[in-house]
This record gives sequence, C-alpha cells and structure tokens, in this order.
Amino acid sequence: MKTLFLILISFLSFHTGLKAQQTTSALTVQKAELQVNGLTCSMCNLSVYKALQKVSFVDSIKTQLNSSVYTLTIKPGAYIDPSGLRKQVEDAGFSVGALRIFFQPMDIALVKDEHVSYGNFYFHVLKTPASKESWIAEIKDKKFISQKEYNRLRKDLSQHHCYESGMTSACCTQDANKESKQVYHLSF
Amino acid sequence: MRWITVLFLCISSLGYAQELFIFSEPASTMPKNAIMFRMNSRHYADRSGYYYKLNPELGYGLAKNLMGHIDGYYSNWALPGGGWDAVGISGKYRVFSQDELHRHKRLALTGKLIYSFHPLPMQWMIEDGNTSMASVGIIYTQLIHKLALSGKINYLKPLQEWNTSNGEVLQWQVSSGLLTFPLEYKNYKQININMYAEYLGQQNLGLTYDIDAPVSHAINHDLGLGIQFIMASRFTTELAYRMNVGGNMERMTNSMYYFNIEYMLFR
Repeated sequence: MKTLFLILISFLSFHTGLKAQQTTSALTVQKAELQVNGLTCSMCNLSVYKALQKVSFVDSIKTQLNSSVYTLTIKPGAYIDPSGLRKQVEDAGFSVGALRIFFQPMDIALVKDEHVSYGNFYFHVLKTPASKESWIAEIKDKKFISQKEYNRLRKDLSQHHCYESGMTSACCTQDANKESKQVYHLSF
Repeated sequence: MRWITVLFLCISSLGYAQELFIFSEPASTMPKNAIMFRMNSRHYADRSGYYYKLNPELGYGLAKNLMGHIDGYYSNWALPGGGWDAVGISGKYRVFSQDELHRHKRLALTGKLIYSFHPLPMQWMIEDGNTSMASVGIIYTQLIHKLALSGKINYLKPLQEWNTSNGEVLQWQVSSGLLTFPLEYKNYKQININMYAEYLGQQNLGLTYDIDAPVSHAINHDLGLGIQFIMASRFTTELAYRMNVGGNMERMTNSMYYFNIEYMLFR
C-alpha cells in the first residue's frame, strides 16, 4: 500500500512538473522561412522541396525559386525542429543559408540571454523583439549561418558556453533547468 | 586552345550557370534516396554503316554525399544485329562542399569498373564498354559568377591484355554550362534550356601490356557541344555532338552524336 502511495505521489508530482514545463513553453511558431544555399537549378530546388515535404511538422511549402527561399507553414500545435529541417536540406546535397522563425507574438517580455523552453529544446534569446506585434527571429547557430558569421559570433559570445556546445548549461542568466538540453540561439 | 577559352568566356558573359554536364559530370552528388533512370545513346557518324551504343544507367543517392550507379552497354559494334557488350558499376563521393546563395564549390572523388564481354582494342579510351577497365578520378566544380566551370582528372587502366599499344591513360576534362531559358525561375514546371561546351583530353601514359609494342604517348583532344532540356524539373533530354579536334590517337570514330534521356525520382 505504501509503495502504491509513493508511486501515486511521484506520478502526480511528475504530472504537475510536466504541466509547469508546458506553461513556460507557450511559444508557438506559425511559419518559417528557409533560405537554401548552393542551389543553381530548378531540379536542385525541387529536390529540396521534396525533402521538406517529408518533414512531419510542415503543413505546406511555398517556394520563391529566384531567391531560393522556402516558406513553410507549420502544422497547428506542432513544434518546429530546426535541426530536422537542416538535415533534410543537407541530405538533398545543399546547405541552410538562413532560417527565420515567425513566432506568434505574446503578452510577455522576452529577456536577453534567457533560455525559453520550446518543445524538447530551448531558445536562447540573443536579441529581443523590437516590436510587440512582430516576433521574427533568425537562428544564429552553426550551419544555420555562414562560417564567417559563426566564427565572429563564437568570439563575441565566448562567455556563453551554450553557443559553441549547443547545449544548455549554467552560462545563462535565466537558466534554471538542470537537465542539459539542446539550445538554439535566436536574434529577433 | 585559345578559341576554347574564348568560347568559355562568351558563355560566362550570359545568364545563370548550369552544371548538369553531358560529356562529363559535376562534383555534386544525387540527393539521398533519389533514384535516377538514364538512357544514353551514342551514334557514330563517320563509319561505313550505322553504328550505335546504348547505355542504360540506374543511379541511387546512397547518402547526402555518396551515390552509386550501375549501367549496361548494348551496341552493334561487336555483335552484328546488336548485343550486350559490357556492364559497369561506379560511385562518386563528395568530399568538400562550400555553398553560398546561388553558388557553390565542390570536390568529389569518383571510381568506375567496367567488365566487357566483347572487348575491342583501342588506343582512344572512353568509358563506353569497349574494354574492361578501372578508373579513378577527381572532380572540382565551381560557379564563378555566371559560369559553371568543372574540371576532372581521371586515371584509366584497361583490365584486358592486348597486343596493341593501348594502355593506361590520363584524361582531363574542362566543362562549362549555361542556363539560357528561363531568364527568371518562376515555378518547377518551366522548361529549362541549358547549353554546354566541354573539352575532353587524354594521353596514353606509355605503359602497355605488350612489352614488344612501341611505347606510345599518343594524345587526343575532343570538343563536345550540347543542348539540354529539363521538363518539370525531373525529365531531361539532351542532344549533343562530340568531335575530335586534335591529337594522334588511334580511334574508332572522329565524331559522335549523343541523344540522352533521364528521369529523376525524388523520394
């Protein structure tokens, strides 16, 4: 009976813990713009398009062939996975030039160098949104930007170990999570 | 050589670049899991009688930077009335890739093995099933402004013995491509028209199986010109002409017409 009671208590505490996590991760993504580098023909463009179609959280894709930009509508309730998108682009033989994420603006203030929970990972806010109406952010991590920009940022952000490792650690001000998870760096 | 340079410069002053070469190949590899069906055909213009070579090919994207091909060779060269001449297997591994918007630099290693059932000795070597052979190569492709420029160096070793002066050859290829239509990409259904000019050279390395044969350093220069149509970003048709423009190699023909079709299945 005692064991059963303990199991019940631990289940309840786990469940409420999970709930608390969900409230902090209320960020929602409506769409994303993926700019792909290395594309020089429509056949190459199509190979990336077909690869992106297979991504589970992508609802629909619009392509601007001339600028190699794919606008992805994200399925309602689904979480965007930047690495998943990058892998699809790389498997097609190309690389990500930029990934812009369009968040649903919220009535909360994002804080610089805060780690915000989102799905199974965190977003580190490098630069906060300039306006309350438009929350558009670019991912500034390795392989989402040019090697030159990455090298520059790695120097500038040397005090944030999470930038180079891509994993959460005690480097950032608002980081309360104990478990080390993947973190992406956003500039609004 | 000077007029080849002039030709490349003329091409470079126009439109966008394309690198889906006809006579050679770029350093890019196929998308992972994609399947390519291709039928190459070559028609020999300057022989008495009509000779052809059919070369069906199946390609697969094994990984993001690795692809494999198998192909067969069917002609009326060895067997009057036509028959299978050879089978081949080849692979390409992309070792370096640097992408920017609308441009890239790539380096790849290639290898090919051909087993010929009806070998025909020839000094001029093409990967055409006329002899059993092994080859290894390195390709560098770059888009410089609006010019798609690619270079390949290939070492080719025949695997069958002959009493002739044929032997190992070193090949070098310089290819350029240009998108002529459309001027602006709008959708995947637009027909793409690409023009190609490629220079293909080779030299006998002077190594022969027959020690009594005279040592050869015969050289050969070919020029290939082609037009390519890509429909619905999947189906490709190519018409091309390859001719000898210099050198002293013994060869089967001085010119060939190419007609190729290809379908890319993205998965």
